[in-house]
Amino acid sequence: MKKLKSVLEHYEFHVLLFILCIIMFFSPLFILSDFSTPGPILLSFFIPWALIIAILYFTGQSYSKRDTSRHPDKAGRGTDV
Amino acid sequence: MFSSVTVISAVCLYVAFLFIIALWVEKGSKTGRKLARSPAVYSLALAVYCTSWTFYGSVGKAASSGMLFLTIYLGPTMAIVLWWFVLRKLVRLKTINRTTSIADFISSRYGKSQSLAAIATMLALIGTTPYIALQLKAVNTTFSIITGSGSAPDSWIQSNVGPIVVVLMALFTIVFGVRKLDPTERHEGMVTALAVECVVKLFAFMAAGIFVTYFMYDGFGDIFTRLSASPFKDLLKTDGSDVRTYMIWSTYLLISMSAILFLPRQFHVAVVENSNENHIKTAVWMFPLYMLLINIFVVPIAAGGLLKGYSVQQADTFVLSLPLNHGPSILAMLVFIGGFSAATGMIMVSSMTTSTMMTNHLFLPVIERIKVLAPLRRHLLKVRWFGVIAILFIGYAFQKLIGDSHTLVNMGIISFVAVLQFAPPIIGGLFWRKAGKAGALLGLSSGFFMWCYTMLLPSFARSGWLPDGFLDYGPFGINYLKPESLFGLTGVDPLVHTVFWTMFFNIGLYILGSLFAEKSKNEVNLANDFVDIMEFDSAVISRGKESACIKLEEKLTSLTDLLGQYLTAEEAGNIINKSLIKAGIKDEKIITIADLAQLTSEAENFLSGFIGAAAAHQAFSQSGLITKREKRELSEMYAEILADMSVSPEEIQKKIDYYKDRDMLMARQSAELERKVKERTRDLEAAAELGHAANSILDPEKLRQQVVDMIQERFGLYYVGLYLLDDTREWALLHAYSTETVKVIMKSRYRTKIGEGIIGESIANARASVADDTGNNKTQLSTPDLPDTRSEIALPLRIHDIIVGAIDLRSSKFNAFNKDNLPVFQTLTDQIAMALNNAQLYNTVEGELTERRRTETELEEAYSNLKLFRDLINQSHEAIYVCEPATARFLDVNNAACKMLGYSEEEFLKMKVIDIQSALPDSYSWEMHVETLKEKESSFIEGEHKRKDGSTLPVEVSINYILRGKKDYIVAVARDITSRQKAEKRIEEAYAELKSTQSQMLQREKMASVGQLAAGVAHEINNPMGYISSNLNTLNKYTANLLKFIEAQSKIIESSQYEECRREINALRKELKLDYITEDLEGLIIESLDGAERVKVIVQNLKSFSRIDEAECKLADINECIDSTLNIVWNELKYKASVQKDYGELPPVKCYPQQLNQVIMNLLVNAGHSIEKEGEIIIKTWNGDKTIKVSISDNGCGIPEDKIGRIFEPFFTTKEIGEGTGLGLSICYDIVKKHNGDITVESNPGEGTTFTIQLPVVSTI
Repeated sequence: MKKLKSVLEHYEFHVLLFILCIIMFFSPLFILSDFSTPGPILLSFFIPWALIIAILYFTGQSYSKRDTSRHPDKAGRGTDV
Repeated sequence: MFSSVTVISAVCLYVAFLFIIALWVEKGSKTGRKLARSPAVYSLALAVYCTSWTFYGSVGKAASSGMLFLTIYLGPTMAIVLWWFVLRKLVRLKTINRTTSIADFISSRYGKSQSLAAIATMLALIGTTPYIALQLKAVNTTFSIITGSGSAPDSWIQSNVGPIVVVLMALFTIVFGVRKLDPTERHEGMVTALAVECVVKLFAFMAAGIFVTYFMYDGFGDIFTRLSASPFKDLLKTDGSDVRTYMIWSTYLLISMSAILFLPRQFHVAVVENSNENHIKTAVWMFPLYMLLINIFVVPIAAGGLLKGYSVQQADTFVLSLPLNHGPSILAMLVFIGGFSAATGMIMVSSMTTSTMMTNHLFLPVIERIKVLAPLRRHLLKVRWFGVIAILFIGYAFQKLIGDSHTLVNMGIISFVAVLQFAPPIIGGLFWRKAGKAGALLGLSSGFFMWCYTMLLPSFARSGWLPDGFLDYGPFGINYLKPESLFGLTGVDPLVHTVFWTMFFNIGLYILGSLFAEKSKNEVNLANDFVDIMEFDSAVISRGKESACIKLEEKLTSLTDLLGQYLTAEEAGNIINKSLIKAGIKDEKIITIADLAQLTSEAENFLSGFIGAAAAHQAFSQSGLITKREKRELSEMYAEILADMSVSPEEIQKKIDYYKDRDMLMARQSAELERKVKERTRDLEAAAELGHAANSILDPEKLRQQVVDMIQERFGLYYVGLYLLDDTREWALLHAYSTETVKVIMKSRYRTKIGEGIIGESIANARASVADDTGNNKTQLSTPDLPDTRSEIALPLRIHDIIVGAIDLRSSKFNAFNKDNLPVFQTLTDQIAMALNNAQLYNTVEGELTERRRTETELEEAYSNLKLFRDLINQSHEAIYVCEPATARFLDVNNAACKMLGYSEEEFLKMKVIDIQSALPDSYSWEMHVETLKEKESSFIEGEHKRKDGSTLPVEVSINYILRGKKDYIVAVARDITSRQKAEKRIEEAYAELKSTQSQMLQREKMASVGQLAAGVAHEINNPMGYISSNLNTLNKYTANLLKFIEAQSKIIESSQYEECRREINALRKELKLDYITEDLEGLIIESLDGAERVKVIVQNLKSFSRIDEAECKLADINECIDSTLNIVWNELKYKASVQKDYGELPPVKCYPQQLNQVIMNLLVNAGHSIEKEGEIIIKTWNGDKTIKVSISDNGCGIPEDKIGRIFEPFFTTKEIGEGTGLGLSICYDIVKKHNGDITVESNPGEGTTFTIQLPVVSTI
């Protein structure tokens, strides 16, 4: 769990999540292009959306209470960007 | 439909409610309430993103373009994924740079460029205008719908709803957001009101959605099924094979990703109003959740409206029109309020922040340049208000002129693309060090221009403001410059076209401008500051101490390491400690750069004492204790100081030399001063110690002597004397003096007159008197008992400005007392006076305290006793009342009184005694009763008290009159005697019953005795009567024979010839009346026999009546019982009544025959008694239903109706006293009941009485 929490705190995870959002929010366009019933179309957007929100919730919970400022002398930890 | 007034009133009420919330929050924030600083409020306030466009436009977009509406919310969700790194940086920069708006932020990043800020402000203003117009359009349209005015308004309000809404919005904005001038303060009230608005609009939208989905239709399934079977079945379908779809989709996602943060209102709420970076942790999930919830019912509402036959053009208002036309009015009003909330929030924040930008970045620079406008600097708040009004009216004008030609969604898209232009300079500024002002200027300007050219101008053209040819052929007929297909780019959606070209120019020129333009040092520093901002501790920054942001602990660690290289740990620690003290930051945790410089300077000075100045300087320079950034800050600080001073280097040098010389002079003077100060400090310390010591002695006498001794010792004086004024205040008496100096003091010194001598003068003048013995002094300081006096001072003792005495100090040195040490002695004297006063007060207070403690103890005991007494009274089972004699009001009652009468104590205290007294005689008077009590002091009465429920309670009351001092009381103790009365009644009844039983027993005993007597007499009579009967029978026979012989003899004599003999016999026969005797003799004998027989029968009946041998229960013939009894009583009845018998055939009855005979006898006797002279008694027997009945009727006087019910009562009789016991019928009743029978009576006065006895045939006795 701690490992998972530490992963969630890295900005790379957020970039990955961003890419996942792109995939999830674009894929219904071509996957469901042959579908005409509204139900699956709606669900194909709302379910991934809810999933992203859930991940964001857990991500928010995993952030440490105090921001650990990154001292420039502490090499190896990297800066924000 | 609602009337305009109703709608306006509802809106005003709603806004008033929001205002109250805002006010409450703002007032609470001053007292520590932190509602507005909660992450939930922050997250919900972000939902100001969901405006009327969301509320109404999403449905419109869904109805026309399917799922494309969702990109407006998916885009922000994607952006929010990166918020922890982007938004947090923005917030931290905002805190450091005190950013007030998005334009301010951009300006701060790029060298505080005013031109950049102005361009950003223009872009924000122009970009926000369509958005505001969108909100106003939504409010106007929905107002028309809900009031039913449509396009034909029929009232002034409906005709002018637009301006009215604008004025109201301006008012709301000013009241909520522009009340104060300093925009860097967070508007906690406004933010909370925003959060509440967002909740309201979500609730309203979901209510409308639920209504449409579940009340107009049967749920999602039903709607989708119908939609699939309708002409709109392909509404949500996307063409995945068309590239255009992806381009449009991507474009919408991109512009919404930027809008969520770079719309001025979003920037303000997300960045400027953020009070804590950690709130972002909650916002990253709560805000997307909000957007998801508010979009759940968009498609069902759109589909619901289309299926109902509404046109697509009306889809923008489905949310309102469907509930209005198909649902309850209240829901329509709720939806309207929700839509109003959505519009209000956006308008408030947008116009507030845009007005701020306009004031700061457009108006103020103009004021600075145009001197005539300089006075307006003092009216910036009003300028801001004017800005708000202007923005709103521009928005209104846009809506009027252009709004009708666009749907809500399209108007919003215009704003989205406008704010997209902020993205490159802001994102670049946060993460790209090389981003520069020139690049930002070029990028922003070009992006703005392209947006105007490709999006704004076409809107104007479509609205008729520009010729159509402009769109179709381009400006001046240049095809290549057609706004909607610039540089030949065709076949793309206009939005994609605009976004492409704006971003192309914006980003392109931004990068090129940044790379090629020279950057100043300031720009470079700013760039590094912005990019590296996350290196600063947020807690430090958020505390607001933007100047003190260096953690001392870290620096001390580094310093310790540095010094440890040359010194021992202890030496290093000492140096650090001294340096901290000298720098004045001993107890600080966070220090400024100046403090750090001072600290390192001091430490370097100390180290130079060990290793030399150069080496120490070298060591510190290379240590990195002060980072480059910190050095730079220091340099800047010094540069600023010098720049502010506006001096040249030569002047600085002159000044430095001047100040050096002055410094040396001051150092000398300060050394002298220091010496004097030390001396004075020593004296003051001594005085303070003395004062402190004096204050610790609370015995006045001891204090005086101690004070005198201590002063002499501490100040090395020759003599000290303490004088206090006497009661007359004419003399000062010596109360204490230093006995070390003089064992025996002159008597003249014991007192001194006020006004005479140095002591008298000091008291009279209320100031110190000083004297030195120069030999010429008339005070003659030297005296026989104090010969070494050379100087003297007398100081008045003052308590609260009242002189109470003086202290006389003598020294053996000349000029021992001067103006330098006079204040010390004065201070000392004041302290001594205070100490004396305190001691006196203490004694007084202690005495009072002791007295108070004693009183308190007594009171506690009394209270305890009182409480005990109270408890005892309350536990008493008897009611205790205390009342006031004068008014008869109750003063106190105990629990038993309340319980007894049902009133509470409070109710009692409102009542009077007379209120509970029952059945008072008319002559009763409370005053007389009290007077009686006063004489007798107590009385004892029985009476009744009235309960609360109206019932009465018998009580016996003991009343006492009590006099305590001047107060008198009446104390009554009432005892409930209900049980006693009941017991008495029971005793009476038992006694009556006992008497009855006793009488019955007596009667029975009597009857038994009578029976026994009768049996005895019968038995005794029976035998002689037997002889008599037998002899009479024999006599009868003899008589018959004798008569036969006499008759035969008479016949012979008659037939004889002897006539003489015949005559003598006949004469003798006549003389002896033989014929008569012969005739009567038989009759006599027969009558005698008959009499004997009757006696026999009577005896038999008597025996039968007594039935002494028949006391057991047995079968008996009732008729026989009646006959036997009748014979017994016949003697009493025969003279008054005739008896008629009518017997029926009766079966034998199991009974106590003796007792039944008693009953019949009583009834017969009573019947006889009721007949006065002559009457008739009828006895009848007959069979009933398993019963036999006997009735005894008479035609006597009868029984009165009022007495007939009591005749069976014991001792009840209508006869005179002595004539009857009244038990007869009672006994009859008991006997019949004992036989499980019944006895009834019917009587008519004057006609007679009938008693009827009914007995069961089979007795179950």
